[in-house]
Amino acid sequence: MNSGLSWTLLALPVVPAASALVLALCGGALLKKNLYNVVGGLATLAAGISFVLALFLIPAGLLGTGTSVTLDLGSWIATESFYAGLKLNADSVGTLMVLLVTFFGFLITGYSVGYMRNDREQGRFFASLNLFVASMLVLVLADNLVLIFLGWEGVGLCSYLLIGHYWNERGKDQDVPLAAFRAFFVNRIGDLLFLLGVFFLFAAFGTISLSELSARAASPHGFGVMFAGREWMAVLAAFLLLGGAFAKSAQAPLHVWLADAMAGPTPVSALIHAATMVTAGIYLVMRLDWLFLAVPQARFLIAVCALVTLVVGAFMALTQNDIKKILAYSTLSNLALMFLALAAGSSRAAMLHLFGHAFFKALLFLSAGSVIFSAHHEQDARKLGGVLKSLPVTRAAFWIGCIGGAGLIPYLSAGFFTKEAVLESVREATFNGFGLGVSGHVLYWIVLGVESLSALYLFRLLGYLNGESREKTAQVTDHSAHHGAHGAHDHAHDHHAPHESSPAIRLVLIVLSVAAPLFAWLSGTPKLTAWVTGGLGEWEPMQWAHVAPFLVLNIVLAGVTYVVFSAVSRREAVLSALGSLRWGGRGPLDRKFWFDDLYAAVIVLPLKVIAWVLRLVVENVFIGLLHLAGLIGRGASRLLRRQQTGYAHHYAAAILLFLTAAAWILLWRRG
Amino acid sequence: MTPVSTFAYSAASNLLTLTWALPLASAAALALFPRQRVSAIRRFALAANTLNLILVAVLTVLFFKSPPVPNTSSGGTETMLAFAADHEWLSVLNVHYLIGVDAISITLMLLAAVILFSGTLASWTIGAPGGTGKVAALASSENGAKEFFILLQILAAGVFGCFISFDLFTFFVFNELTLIPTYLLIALFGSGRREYAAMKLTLILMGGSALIFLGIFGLYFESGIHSFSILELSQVRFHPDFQGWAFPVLFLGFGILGNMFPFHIWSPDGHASAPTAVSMLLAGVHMKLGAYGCLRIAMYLLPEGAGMWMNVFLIPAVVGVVWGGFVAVRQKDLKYMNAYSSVSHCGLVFVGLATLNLIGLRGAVLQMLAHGFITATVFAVIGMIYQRTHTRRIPDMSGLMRSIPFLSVVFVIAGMAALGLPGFAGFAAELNIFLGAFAAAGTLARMGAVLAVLSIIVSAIYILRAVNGVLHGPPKENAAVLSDAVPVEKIALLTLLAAILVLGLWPGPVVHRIDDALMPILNNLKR
Repeated sequence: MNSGLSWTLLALPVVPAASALVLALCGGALLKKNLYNVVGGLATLAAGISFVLALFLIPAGLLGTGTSVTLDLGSWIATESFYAGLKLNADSVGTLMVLLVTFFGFLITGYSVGYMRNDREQGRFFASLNLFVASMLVLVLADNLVLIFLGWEGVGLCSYLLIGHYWNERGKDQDVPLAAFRAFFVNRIGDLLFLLGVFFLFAAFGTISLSELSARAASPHGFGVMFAGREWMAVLAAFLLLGGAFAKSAQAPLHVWLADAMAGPTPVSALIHAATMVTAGIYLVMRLDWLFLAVPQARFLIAVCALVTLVVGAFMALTQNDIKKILAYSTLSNLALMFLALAAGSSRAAMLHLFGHAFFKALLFLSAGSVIFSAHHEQDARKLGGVLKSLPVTRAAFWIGCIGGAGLIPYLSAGFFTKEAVLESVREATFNGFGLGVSGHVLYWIVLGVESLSALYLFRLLGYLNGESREKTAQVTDHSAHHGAHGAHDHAHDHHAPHESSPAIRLVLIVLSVAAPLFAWLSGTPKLTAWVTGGLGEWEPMQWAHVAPFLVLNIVLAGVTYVVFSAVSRREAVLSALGSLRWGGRGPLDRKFWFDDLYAAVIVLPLKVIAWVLRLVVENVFIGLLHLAGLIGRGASRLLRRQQTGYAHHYAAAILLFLTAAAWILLWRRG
Repeated sequence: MTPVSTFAYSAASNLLTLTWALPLASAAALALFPRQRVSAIRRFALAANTLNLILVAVLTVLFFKSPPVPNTSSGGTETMLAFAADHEWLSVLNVHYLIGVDAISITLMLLAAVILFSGTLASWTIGAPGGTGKVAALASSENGAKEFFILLQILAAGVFGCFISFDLFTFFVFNELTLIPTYLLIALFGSGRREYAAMKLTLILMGGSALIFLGIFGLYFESGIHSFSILELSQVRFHPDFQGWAFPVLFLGFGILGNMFPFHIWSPDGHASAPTAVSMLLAGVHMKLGAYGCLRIAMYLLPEGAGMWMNVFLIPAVVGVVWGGFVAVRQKDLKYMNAYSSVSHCGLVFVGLATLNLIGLRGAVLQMLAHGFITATVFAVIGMIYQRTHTRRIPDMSGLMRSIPFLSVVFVIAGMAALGLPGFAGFAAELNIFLGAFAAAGTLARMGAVLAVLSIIVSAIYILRAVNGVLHGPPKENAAVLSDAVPVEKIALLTLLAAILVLGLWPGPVVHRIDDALMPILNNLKR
């Protein structure tokens, strides 16, 4: 039953995984021989092969009618009732995700060849990057939740390894190992919830196969039967799985790791922490949409958390000066938009924005990477005034990315129609749960307002990078200590003005600068949305009347912001005016909305106290008891030793005493 | 009445005897070596252990090609043995040399053989004379290779003897055989408070042995057939009153050996003080004898007792899982960290056993294997790092990734396996244990499952803390002079990693056979 096409499903993750293995084993040796391009080339080739293979899935997965490609390789961790098979399945959603992952995986791996070209540890980097693509493919192709968990943990591991790539940087402003630790730890909390969710789902429905679950839910009577008598388990499972999704997709309160994750190399931020991995949670909820549709409380929780994240992300992005941090907080806010669409019950809008966001955010991150690379790893936007003027390709890409992210021009902004779809879905929905009800209209205006901030923070950044420079030599900063151990780029570059440095970087930027508007144009036509939404509900034509306020507001905001921030004098006047509003470093924006403090108080401190107390008990009580037993033994032996006097009459007396006692007991018992 | 399988008295049973006779004979042969010829001594030991690994591997292949399938469809409770043999050797007590293997024991033997082989390689530098070559430069100065390997081989002989014995008395004899070399190996070749640790370990394990001794003589006399044969005793229905006291005695006796909370207190000191190969063998294999005894002897022979007591034993098991993890977080010494992590992981074995259902029991057996391989890898790599840095304290190390990349990567992989990442052996085991506990009857088991799942967060903390402290951060000044793993060390580590990956990615065939072997035990529990 496994056709030739089915085997491509296996080849998809296996090719990059094999390449990862080869690079892990031989990467060091290749790098010693200075074959740097071979390492990056092999990784790019593997990702490219995966992309080509993914294209073969299009006819059956996207254009076909309801058929999906499956591959069943038997059991993996089987039990008589809990069957976790090695089954891969590409339906329309799966095929779309595969295309997304392999397309961006391929492009960004290629980009990394340029970006990492002076890094002496790029063997490990490319191995992790390939393993990431493989894990992500397992995640989106897996047909059961345990196999999804394999991919889920695999991408988490790669994220950890890649965030920690500059592992020896433990400075005042940036502790890379700690950032990696935090990312893994927060995700581990999500994993715990995910696993428990799987257990409860299994307890409720007796299967963990996604296709079987949704088939059962789709059958006319199946739904009620499925839930009968086990509602609480299903509800609990929905909440627990949601916890897992929140951790992976960085939603409040489990979002804190994403900004730290920017400690990794920039291509990693583009691929993992913007375009692909962070969408895994959204993918999971989409896969289990039947469950979340049946549990309105869970959707209400999604809406609340997403709204918090939206606000936190947008406002934090406004105040950051680190280019990558601005983009990271913007990612938070965009992921929150996707979750809002899911809360409104529209997987279609979520999927559409997932794609749109991937395009513009990857473009933004990659152009930011180009800036950072050219400016010798300077990331502070304030020190990079006007840097784009000497980087023509990057400049064009950055403009397209910002226009895309802010949704300024229909048919050119990758985020325009997709955000519109999200807003529209929110407006149509009502949110009920826990005895509360919120009309979608109210939420619509809030989201519209907050989302407009994206025009503000993106064009503030663009204003810095493309505007006047404060000092003419600002780009060249003291970076001799920075990344010193990590590559020869300090020696490769002289300290002169930034310039476009790598053909690989430029090529990828050009491709994406074309692809993003292309996607934008397609996203405005029913054709693409029909593909994208094949399995995800009806396509509703957009109403321009609804779009108009969104559009006008954004254009005005973007324009004003750009004008203010592109000139040093205006920028400083505005900032000093705003500066008087700050609360001496204690405001919500300075404290990251107190989420770090929340973690310190609610998670870190209790864990530390428990560990401290338990260790104290081990040290003192148990070992003390043991030593007490030893003391008693020693005392007893001393007592007994005293009996061994060596005098015959003592022994005789003891024997007599014993015999008398024995005789007395025997007689007494008989009597 | 003796339900020995159709494989009885096959020639292969002699090969089974060879698995313990070979290490013992090699120990005797090593005694004849002049003590200065260190290189010849360790080569000989390696040859013997390689041969034993091949032997066990061949037996495993033979076993899996035509496994004895017990007739359990209609609730049969008879264990079927492959390569069985039966000879009386102490007629006064009706003691038999009754040997054979089922899937549980053969896989545990393979675990033992792999760990013995890689442990020999990992202790390659014991007693090497300083001065020549890369390996020798790493050597510890102690020139006791001869005694070390003699004792190691005796320990190995005892372990293999236990796994093939289906006679309680013979089992007990082999079990006692492991204690003396363990004491000497730690007291003579250990580090830190080695004499204290060795004494503590031996005394507590002796206490466990006393309980086991009491239990098996209780079985012997109470059965009415005056037999030590597990196969025969499994068909006897003991009086519930007897089961009520004999089960906790036996389970505790084996539980002490199996590192059950709160009787784990011998293990952190013992494992941390022992030399690398001994830590690997003790934590990886010897400790498994305890869990194996709990399953094979206490639960199989006294099923009603298990039914009465298992909820009681579930509590210390779950406490141990959580406790071990939290205490590991506080450790500064890498070996203590891993030793406490073993308390946590062995606690999971007992959680699996306490479920009394197939999923949980299977998880317990898988966890014995997985923890054996993983903890041995971690101990091996810690030992190798220690040989280079001469410290095991996390705060004293930093940025080793630069100078010893191979060992660092293995450390990370082994750590990821230890924290239960899917794809590695630990996950397959833990998933089954959690599911088993979830599926078990009663709220207690389910609560226990939820608490035990919490350990996956705690394990992430101590593993990542160690990785960040030891491997990451700015390298220390003296780090540049450290040399990475030499080929023997690489072989040792890669062998272990391969086992962890195979068991994690492709547990199906092993699981299938383990299920077969568990069915008689399970049917006994259900009857």
